[in-house]
Amino acid sequence: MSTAERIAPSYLEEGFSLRSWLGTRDHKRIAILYALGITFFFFLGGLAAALIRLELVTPAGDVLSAETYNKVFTFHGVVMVWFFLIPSIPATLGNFLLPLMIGARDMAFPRLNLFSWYLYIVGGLFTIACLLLGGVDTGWTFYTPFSTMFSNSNVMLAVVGVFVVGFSSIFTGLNFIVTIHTMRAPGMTWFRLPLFVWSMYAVALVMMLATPVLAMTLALIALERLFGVGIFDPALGGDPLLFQHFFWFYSHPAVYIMVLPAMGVVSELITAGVRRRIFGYKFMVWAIVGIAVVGFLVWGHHMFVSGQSMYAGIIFSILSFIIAVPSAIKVFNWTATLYKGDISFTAPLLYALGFVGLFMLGGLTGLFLAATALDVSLTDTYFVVAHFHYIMVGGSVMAYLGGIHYWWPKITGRLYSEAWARFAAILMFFGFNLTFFPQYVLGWEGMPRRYHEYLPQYQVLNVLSSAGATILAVSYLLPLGYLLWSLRHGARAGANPWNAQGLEWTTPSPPTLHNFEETPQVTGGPYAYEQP
Amino acid sequence: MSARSPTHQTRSHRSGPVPPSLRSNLLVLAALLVLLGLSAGSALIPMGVFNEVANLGIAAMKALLVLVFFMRLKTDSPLLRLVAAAGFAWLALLVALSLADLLSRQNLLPPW
Repeated sequence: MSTAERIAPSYLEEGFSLRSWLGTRDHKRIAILYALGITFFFFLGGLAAALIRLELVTPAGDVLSAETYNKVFTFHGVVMVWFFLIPSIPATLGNFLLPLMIGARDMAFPRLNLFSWYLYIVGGLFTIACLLLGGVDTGWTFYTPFSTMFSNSNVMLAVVGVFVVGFSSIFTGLNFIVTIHTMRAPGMTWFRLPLFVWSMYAVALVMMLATPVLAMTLALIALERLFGVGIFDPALGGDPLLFQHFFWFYSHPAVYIMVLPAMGVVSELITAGVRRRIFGYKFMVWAIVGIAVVGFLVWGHHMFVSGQSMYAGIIFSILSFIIAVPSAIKVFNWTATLYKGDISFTAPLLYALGFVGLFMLGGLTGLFLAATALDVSLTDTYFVVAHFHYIMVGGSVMAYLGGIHYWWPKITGRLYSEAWARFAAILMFFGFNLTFFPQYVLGWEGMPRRYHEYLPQYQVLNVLSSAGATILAVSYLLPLGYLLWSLRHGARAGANPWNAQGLEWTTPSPPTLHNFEETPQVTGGPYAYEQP
Repeated sequence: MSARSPTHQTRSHRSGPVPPSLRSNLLVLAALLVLLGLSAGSALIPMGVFNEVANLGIAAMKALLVLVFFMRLKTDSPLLRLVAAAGFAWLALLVALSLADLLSRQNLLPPW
């Protein structure tokens, strides 16, 4: 543990001016900048969600007009998808941990890394400007022909915001790929990489291959909306379904941009929490790669009822069933890792176990939706809303918070209140299920999504859901409180408070500017917990 | 551009292949211009559906020239060639599965 003794000042002590932060090229500081940004957008998007749940407490549309309601759920979607979920784990934990985990001093392109953050902020400013100037009402999917021909809201501002933030994603992906290929420490072979690094690699590939298609699609919307070029408008010789193909070619893999990093985080949390080697390391690696690749081939399951051909529907349905296989391998392997483990229910492990349960429920209901016949009745109902929130919120947000808790001592050098953290994790699990499980039932009973009014028989379940959202909001505010509190009052963390494996734990907490005093030499695989 | 001194090359941090010569660049440019002329000229010859085939073929050849020579894939490492190929493979996926829909669509008449 000699490398963990502090010789140089920590990265937090390298400079205290605003300039030292806004001009930094240190991957760890850039991660903090991202964390601040996504936390801001998370609560902004959460505010929109609160308005939605408030409106849905009663069957009548009495809080928001139909038009405003459309704008609120669009804002919620745009902000949560592009300004929180997509950058959440990769841009914060990924940026912070990737060089530490592979034994590198920094990212391959530190300036590009900072530039990515500025792009993220510029994209965010466009989105906020869009909100302040009246919002956009197309839904986060910008479906044509509504977005190109009919909507009178600020479509272009929102599109530009998403276009810009997309490039932030692309550059982050590029940086990750080059870093992992070229900057691994001696002895850090591909099959000695922690699964978190593998998940970052896979997600970087998805970002690089999918996001340009989003940029192109948004540019085509601009072309048609501003200049009347016929791409999607049938009257001009276009095809509205072409938009959906292009959009979902990005946006379905985008789901895996959100959940693959979560899987990586959870693998780290579970192995450290139960002090066991991961069960089936190579299977886990191939499952990550498999999900990243097959994730590109399933987009048409968003279009079963939108006029896509029946034959294409069958192909996409089969492919969607196939992607459940690598996902299931991961769930089984996490569960098998628990077997005979030395389980200590610390807050990070509670979050990780919460993830596994919620991801499984979200994934299994995905199979319902992948079945073409069943999807006909479930499309555009609350069943779909519940399904993707189980994956994105129950899965990704739980894992993100679990990861923040697990690596908080490394990032800040402080320990938080474990009791509060466990309480928040359990409350979050409870609040989440109370919010979203009733939505499965509502959808099954036929309640459509994206309406500000509904039939009176759906009220009880909607009230339950809104009550759950209140609990969920409290459970999200709690970590904000005790984590901030720990920055000033938390006990000092040692280099390795969890007694965990991994190169990041051999550095001081918080690490120094260049991470390692000497280049580490790697002699074995990750997760060597059971060694005597 | 062509007169890169040896000192410049040794000082360069670039680990990739040696940049193409001016002669190679000019030849590729000439080939691209000839193909452009062919593409424009083919519009004057009525070939029915084969006009599109010819134009797409010429466009593919132009893209290939740019990739192989201007983007230096010919002399670069296999890994970089693999990365470039992956981009095309993914584009092919997008086109192929989208066409799977378009080419098998049937006009469904309303039941009434």
